Amino acid sequence: MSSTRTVTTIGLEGSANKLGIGIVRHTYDAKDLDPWDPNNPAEPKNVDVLANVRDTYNPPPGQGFLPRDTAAHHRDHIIRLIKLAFSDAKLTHKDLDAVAFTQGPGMGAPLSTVAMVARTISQLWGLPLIGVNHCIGHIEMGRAITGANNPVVLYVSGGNTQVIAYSRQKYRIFGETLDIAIGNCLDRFARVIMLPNDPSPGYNIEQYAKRGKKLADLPYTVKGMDVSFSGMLSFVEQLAKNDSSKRTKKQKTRNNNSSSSSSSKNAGEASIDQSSQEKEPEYTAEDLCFSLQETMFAMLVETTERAMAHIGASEVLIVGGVGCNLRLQEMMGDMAKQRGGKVFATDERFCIDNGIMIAHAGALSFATGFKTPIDKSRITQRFRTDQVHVAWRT
Amino acid sequence: MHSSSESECSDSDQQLSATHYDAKLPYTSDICLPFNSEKLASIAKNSIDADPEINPDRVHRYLSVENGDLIVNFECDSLKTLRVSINAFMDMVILVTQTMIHLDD
Repeated sequence: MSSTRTVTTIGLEGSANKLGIGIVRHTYDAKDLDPWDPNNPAEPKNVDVLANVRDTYNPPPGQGFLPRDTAAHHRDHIIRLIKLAFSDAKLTHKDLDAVAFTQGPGMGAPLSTVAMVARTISQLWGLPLIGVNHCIGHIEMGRAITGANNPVVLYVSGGNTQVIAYSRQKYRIFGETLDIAIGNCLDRFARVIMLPNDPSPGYNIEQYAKRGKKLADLPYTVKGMDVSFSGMLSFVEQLAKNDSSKRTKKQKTRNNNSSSSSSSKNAGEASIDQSSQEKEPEYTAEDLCFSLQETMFAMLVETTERAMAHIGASEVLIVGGVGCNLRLQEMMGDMAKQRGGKVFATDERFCIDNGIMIAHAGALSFATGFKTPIDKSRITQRFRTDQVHVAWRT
Repeated sequence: MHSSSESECSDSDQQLSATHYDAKLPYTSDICLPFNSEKLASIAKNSIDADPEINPDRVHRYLSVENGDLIVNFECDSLKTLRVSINAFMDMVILVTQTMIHLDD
């Protein structure tokens, strides 16, 4: 048997409201790494997840997570989580080869908080620092877990919506959202109908959507390979608000009628109200969640299918927080099946932001000789997927 | 990693203010934080300095290390930005020192 070499990396992720720490061990054939040949790059034989811990900042229902509060959450929990990751992995920092952290994209204050700790431990422990693009983390983790070889990647999360395919050492963006991300749209709608943020707004919408029956006609916006969600959000918010205001108005009129001798004015209003309700179909919150999901996911299936046709791929890999939505996986699966392919997806441990994906992607680039000097480790809120040189793939 | 003591660094304060004085940023403050060693103070400086201030035209932040002290000098365009910058800086210093206390050998 040929000799092997291992690379053990800790990854720190905190670009949004999840704080994740992961430790991963890569096993290479020694001859693949030493000397490393850029013309014949190697990927590890084995990827072992040694620890994967996460703590999510959840604001109360009706509120989003603000950068300042999220950064404070990360500050409060990061040291505890790092200790927990080491005890889960049964390792100490002496077993590590590198420290990887999310350099971007994401929210400035939370990114900066986590980067600060990454820089400090890398200096304390004398380990190289590896800045990782968050999107690349998702893609590489999805590939490693599912074994998808060269898929079209649909990256759907709270901050990103991209259809991606690999070509010549870059993950190229085929299509993306022109305004807000799909997860952002879902989160904001969850706020309007006051769904809790625990465990996640998207999960709660998914549960509501299962009970939805009536499909509302929402604006379906696909422009070439790109999609747009902000118009749909305004539209569905309006439907939800009309609905709830109608309901309270109806109740009020009813109360007035029963408590006092009803004035003719009130009675008139009530009758107008009722007649308008008969004309317009009324949607429950469950119906709206259902309609929102169906319409948005259909848009993504359309653009993903077009990307597959374009590059002749039959596999789809769904990554990102929204990727653990089973309805999205089902719709994408139907499309892929019709094209003689299949869909790959991971569960919430790897779909939702985590430290493992950062450790994994960091380790891949570290094995190619990549390092981020401390003075070049500045975080960046905008960091496109196609800016990264994917040196570890041919 | 101990609480700051103004007296220890008073002579370097004046020097810093004199070298960087900018008429558009009249509100200044100098803070000196003693660390256990020159090495730890440098680690803190490197960790914090990598991310620049968000409003470079309204806040100037200079970090330096002298005899195991982390010295920071702020120049701001208003008292409010000075207060906000010092607050943010203190949060960072606390995080870095906590990391040193809990995760160093």
